[in-house]
Amino acid sequence: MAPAELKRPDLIVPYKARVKANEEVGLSLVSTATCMAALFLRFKLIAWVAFILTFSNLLNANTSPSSSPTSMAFMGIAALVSTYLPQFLNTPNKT
Amino acid sequence: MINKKLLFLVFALAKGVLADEEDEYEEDYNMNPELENPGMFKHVDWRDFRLEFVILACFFLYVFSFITQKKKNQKIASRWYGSLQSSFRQQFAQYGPGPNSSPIIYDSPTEFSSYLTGRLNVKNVYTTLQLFPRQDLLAYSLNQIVEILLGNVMSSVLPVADRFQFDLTLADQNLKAERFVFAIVHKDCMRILREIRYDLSFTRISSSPYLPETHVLMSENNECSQAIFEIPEFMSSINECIENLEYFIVTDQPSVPPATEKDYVTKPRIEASIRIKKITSLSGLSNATGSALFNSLLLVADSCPKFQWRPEVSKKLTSARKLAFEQVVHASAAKAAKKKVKSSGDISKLSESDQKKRMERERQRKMRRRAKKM
Repeated sequence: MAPAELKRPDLIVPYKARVKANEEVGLSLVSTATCMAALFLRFKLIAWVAFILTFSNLLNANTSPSSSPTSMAFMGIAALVSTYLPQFLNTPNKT
Repeated sequence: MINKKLLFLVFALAKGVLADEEDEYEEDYNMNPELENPGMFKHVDWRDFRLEFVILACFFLYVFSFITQKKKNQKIASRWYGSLQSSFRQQFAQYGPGPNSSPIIYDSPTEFSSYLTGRLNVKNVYTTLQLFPRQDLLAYSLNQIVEILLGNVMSSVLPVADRFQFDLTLADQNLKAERFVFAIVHKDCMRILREIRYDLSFTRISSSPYLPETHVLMSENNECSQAIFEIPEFMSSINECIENLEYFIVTDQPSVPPATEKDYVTKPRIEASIRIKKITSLSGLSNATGSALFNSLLLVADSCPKFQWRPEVSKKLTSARKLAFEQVVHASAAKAAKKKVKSSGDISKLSESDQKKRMERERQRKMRRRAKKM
């Protein structure tokens, strides 16, 4: 057959996007756990790790990011702020 | 060049920040901090944050690397699809999701897909270019670690690499054509594909004189394999891309194991995947393997309507599908029956020890479910 005979505009099927499963469960789990640890323990190193992980999640989000990466980024920033507040604020003396 | 310069700049800055302070102040008297700074904020100096500056420098380096490598992935994708565009447009009336839109669909920083339709014997084709996550090695390594730790929970998938995949659906007018399962699989991918794919369970593994030692033939029937191998120009096309071929599957069965009768949807299609060799430079991208695989797909698609088997072969194929369908129906019915038995079970009639055992079992089941959901 000639190639022209194989092309059939009348047989065009409209495009339908395929749904793909979410494969980022592991990283989200690690990020969430690290954020919680940073918020409660207030270690500087854990806070920075949490911040970097949440930002990584935000960067890796798809073109239409859902709310979860953004909220996780806020959680990372909150962990960082929470850890550094005692260094900037005066605490009242108990005496 | 730019990357190296920026890298040197970042590390020079970090080294400068970490340098030991040689100036020493002499304090003649003790200052009372409360009297000097009665306000809410403490007095801090930038020298107190040397570690933070180093971390921030590494973080910005990470972000910069992310952006540059992400753009590199996009360039690779546009180069790859650009090189295949001529053959795509030659064979199909529509290349891309719509006539007026860009043919490349951006799914994620590592996945770029496209869509082909408008051809005899073919309903549509989905192509997916899956690239290694160069932009974020941190997330990749973390995912690997998590998968190793939770290996029993996660499902096995093909290893992450640069690959190009086709998913071709045959035209509906071929619904009456003979149906079969045939696959050429690389030995490295065979174990994983057998685990995750339902349709390959219909096949038997064997070696074939037509294929090199690196690949195996998984076919439902010898006559089907022979028919495909005897398609003119098919073997020459396959041999062009056999080095990088991961799998070439002609099937009508669902690839995901069906749980109920509704999931059991048979759709004749061809799925294929090739591994792209290490991409050292954009100009060196070779699309010969992609074109060869594309030609192979079309040759099989054009030949499928003409296939005819002997009556005994047709009976075998049909009975295998009937048996599979009955198994699915039986399995779903068995599950439904189990649920009824469990719900209708009367705990009060049991003895005291049996009641305790059952309560303990249910409690353990709940704990397991929670663990799995995590």
